[in-house]
Amino acid sequence: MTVPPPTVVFTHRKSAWEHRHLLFALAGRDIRARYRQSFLGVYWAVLNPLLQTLVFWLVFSRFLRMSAGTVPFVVLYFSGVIFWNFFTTAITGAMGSVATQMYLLEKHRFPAVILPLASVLARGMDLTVSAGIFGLLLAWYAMPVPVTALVIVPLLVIGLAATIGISLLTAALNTLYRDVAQLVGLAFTLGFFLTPVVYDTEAVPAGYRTWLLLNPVATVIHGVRIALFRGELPSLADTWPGALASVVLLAIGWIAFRQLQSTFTEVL
Amino acid sequence: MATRQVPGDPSDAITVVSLGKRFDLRHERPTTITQELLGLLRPRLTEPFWAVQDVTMSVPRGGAMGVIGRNGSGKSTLLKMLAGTLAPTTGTLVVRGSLSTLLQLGAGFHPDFTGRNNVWLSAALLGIPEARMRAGFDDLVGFAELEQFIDIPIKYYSAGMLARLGFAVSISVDAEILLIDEVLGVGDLAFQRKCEARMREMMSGGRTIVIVSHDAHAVRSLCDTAVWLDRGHVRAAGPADEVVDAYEASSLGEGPGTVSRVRAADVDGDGLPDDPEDA
Repeated sequence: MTVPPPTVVFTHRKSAWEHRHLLFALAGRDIRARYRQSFLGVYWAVLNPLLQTLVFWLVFSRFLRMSAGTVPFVVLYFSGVIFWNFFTTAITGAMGSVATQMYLLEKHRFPAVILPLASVLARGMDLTVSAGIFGLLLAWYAMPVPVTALVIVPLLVIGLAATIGISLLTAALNTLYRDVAQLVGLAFTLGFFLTPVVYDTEAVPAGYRTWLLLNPVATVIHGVRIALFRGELPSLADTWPGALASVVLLAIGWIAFRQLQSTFTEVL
Repeated sequence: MATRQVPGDPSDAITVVSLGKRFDLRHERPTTITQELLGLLRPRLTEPFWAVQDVTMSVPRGGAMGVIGRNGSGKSTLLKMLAGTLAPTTGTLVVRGSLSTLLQLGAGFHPDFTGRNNVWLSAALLGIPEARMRAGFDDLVGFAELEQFIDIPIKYYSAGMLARLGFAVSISVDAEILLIDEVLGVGDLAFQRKCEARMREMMSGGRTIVIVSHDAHAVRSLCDTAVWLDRGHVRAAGPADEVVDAYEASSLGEGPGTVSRVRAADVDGDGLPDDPEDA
């Protein structure tokens, strides 16, 4: 049976911008929920990367005496892992954000895209804390921060675009197929080695490097290391493939989310 | 956008014409790729189910309409469409004015967080500006009579306390149209009176109200008009008193209504209806 399509007019529909404090309220709740009923509470956000650093320092700098040129290995590792951690934890959180908070969408009228965005935003706190600890680490090794470090701002935009793109895609697909979580878990395990976290891009043969830098997280880490440790700017040739990949990921995620969001509340 | 023709009478807050909502009930929803692929080979085992069909009604600005009907009659589906959280399948739906919904008490409340915390999140969900929330917070807590308990996790709240908090948050919205779902029968009698008084105050301020309830009393006392839904269709519509009377007469004649009447009259406790001469 075919029926004429509906005509729906709401004269006062609020825009996503008018819902911006919902974004912050949900992100705040996400952070609080993570540490609820824990004695140390939010201090875990500091303790966690601090203890990690201590162990890595012990293993890499003391046991194995590894270093990448003039850069202590623990500094090299930390400069990569903060971005990798942000990328993976943000996506993991955002992936389930719609499926687990469907009850909010059924009861309240707000743009569904706020749910994954709030999850990503909540992980921004961990990134900030980690960045602070990284600053302390640089101070400990008496490494100066050159002015080229400012390039981190555009690089973060690239990383964030990719993170949001994949978050939107997985959050939307996860409402239909729960095996998205399995797939993402596998992709993260493999992706860790295809991202220059425990090694430097300089060590990768040039032929492979071009492909490696299609990975936006690799682009961010590569650029940050060149800016911080060499006081130079990453070349455009090393940056544009990852930037392009980010834009494509963001577009795919956005379109997929838009296409699927009308089905979110329809699942009986 | 300005040139677009908005259907219906512009003096109405809500216009609904031949509205329908169809759900495709899949007996087994495919949740894995294998099932989905197999589903492509087989004809789809879906059964169309019209939760709401051919509903036409309108609520004038400043009016109060009740929607009554038994469980599963499509009341909540209709309200979700009015609220904009569920898209209709067919028909026309026009909502003129800002909207707030009170769909089940404390929807969006998180049990592990304090009352204060939940109020703030709910306010953000309802789109209440932060400045106004800050100014009105103490009044809200006072209205809910929860001054002592606002900083403890709501999992320790009683059902009545939760209901009071949910109601207090919802009415702090300054919307032109208020949609209310099955919430007036909660709390003790004193709180119910307070809610009704507050609703009347809001109505006299020119707000439009739609109440969905199977509590005939609330609809009779607060609404001027009512719609009786039965299996997704409008069975009766008109002045609230008349529609509620017809609904009550019908409910008593069929289903659970009959049982409760027998029980009520069973004073001597023999499990059988009392002989009229015993009384």
